[in-house]
Amino acid sequence: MISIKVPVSSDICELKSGQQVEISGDLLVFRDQAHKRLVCELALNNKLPFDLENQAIFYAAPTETKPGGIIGSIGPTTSTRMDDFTKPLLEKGIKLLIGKGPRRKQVKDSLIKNKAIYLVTVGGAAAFLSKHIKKVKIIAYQDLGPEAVYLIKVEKFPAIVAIDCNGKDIFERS
Amino acid sequence: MITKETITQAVKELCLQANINVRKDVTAFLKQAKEIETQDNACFALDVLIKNAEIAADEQKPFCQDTGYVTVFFEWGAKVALIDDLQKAVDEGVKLAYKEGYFRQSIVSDPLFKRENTGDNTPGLINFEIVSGSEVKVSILIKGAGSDNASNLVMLNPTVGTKGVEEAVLELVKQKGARSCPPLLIAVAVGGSFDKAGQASKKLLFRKIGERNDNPKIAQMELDLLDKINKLGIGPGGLGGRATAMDVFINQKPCHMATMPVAINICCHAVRTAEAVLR
Repeated sequence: MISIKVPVSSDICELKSGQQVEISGDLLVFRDQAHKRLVCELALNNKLPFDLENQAIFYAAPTETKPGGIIGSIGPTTSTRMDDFTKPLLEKGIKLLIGKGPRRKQVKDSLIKNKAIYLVTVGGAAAFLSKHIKKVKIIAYQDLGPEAVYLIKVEKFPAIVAIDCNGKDIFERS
Repeated sequence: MITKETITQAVKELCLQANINVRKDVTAFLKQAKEIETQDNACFALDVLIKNAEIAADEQKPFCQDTGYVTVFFEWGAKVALIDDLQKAVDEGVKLAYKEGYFRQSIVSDPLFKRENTGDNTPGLINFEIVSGSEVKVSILIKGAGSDNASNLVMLNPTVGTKGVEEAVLELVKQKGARSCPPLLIAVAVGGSFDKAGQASKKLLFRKIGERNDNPKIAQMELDLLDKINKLGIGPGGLGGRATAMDVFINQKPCHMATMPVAINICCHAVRTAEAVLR
C-alpha cells in the first residue's frame, strides 16, 4: 500500500489517478463557510489563522464526540461545493484535497499548475473512517459549530487518488 | 391515548434507530454487490461500507456524519384525538435524539443571511395525513445534504411519456450520481403537483429494495431504469463499477392535463428510515 505523509514533503506527482493510498499525519478539516472566510481574508491580504504550506484539506464536519471518545463520526462531504474557493488555497501551498465526487475544470487546472492532488474517500463511511483518527483540535472559527476548522491527526487513513498532478481524473471515463 | 409525550418518545427512538442502524435491505444489497463487482476500487468502497455498518452498530454511533434533517410523516387515524402542539412534540423528540446520540446539528436558521445553527437540529419537517382508523403511524426519514442537493424536481411537458421521464432521471444520475454517495436509491414520483410530487418522492424511500410497484407497467419501467443506470459505470463511491443504484422506485398520481411533474429524489446508500405504529 502506498503511504502519504502530511505535511507533504515527498513528490506526490508520482501518484496516479485510481491508486489506493493511506494517509498519515495532520489534516485540516473544513468546508463551505470556512472556505468562504479564508478566501475573503486572502483577498484582503490578511494573515490567515493557520498555515497552508504543504498541508491537506479534508472536506468534512464531524458529529459530536461521545464522552471519552476522540471524535464522533466523520466522512467526506461533496467536494464540488468548494470548487470556487479552491484555487487561491492551492496557490497558498495546499497539496492534498480530500473529499468525495468530481471537481470542475478550474480545480483540475489549478491542481496541475500547483502540483497538488485531489483524493476521495468513501462517502457515508463515517463510523469506519473515524477509527483512523487519533487526535482532534479546533484551530479556528469555532463559532461555525460543526463547520469550524479542525486539525486532526490521522493514521493510515484510506483514500483513492481521484485527480493526479497531470489532471488525470478517475471520474472521467471513456 | 396518544399524548405529546408518546409522539416525542417515538420520534426520539426512531431518529436514534435510523442514524445508527443501517437498513437490513441495504446491508444485504452491499454484500451481494461485492460478489458481483470486479474492479478493485468498487470492491474497496463496498467493503468499507459493510465494515462501517458493523462499527456503527457496535459503537452505537451514527454511520454517516451527516445526520441530516428529520422529516416526519404522520398517518393519523381519524378516531385518534389530535394533540395540542404537534410541532413542539416532534421538535422535542428530535432534540433529545440528537443530544443523546451525539449526532451532528446541521440545521441553520436565517438561510439567506446569518445561517445560524439552531443548535438542536430542529425544526423537524412534518407531513400530516388523516387516514381512517384508530392508529397513528409515525414514519421518519433522515436525509443528508449530499444526496438532497443532487435531487431535482422537473415540470415536464404532458406529451413526453415514459421516455421523457426516463431521460430526466438518467441525465440527473449522470450529472450528479458520482457525488451523492452511490450505490443510490432513486425515488421518482410522477404526477400530483409541484409540491406533492416532492413529498411523494420522499415517502417512496420507505419502500424496501427489490419491492416493485403493483402496476406491472411501472414495475417494468423501474427495472429498465435500474438496468440503464447500472450500465453508466459510476459504481460504488463513484469510483467506477456496476452498483450505481440499489434500486429505482416509481409511483404516479393524477395530475393536470397540461403537466407532468416529476420529482427525482436521489438518496445515498445511507437511507435512513424508521417507522412505528402507535395505538
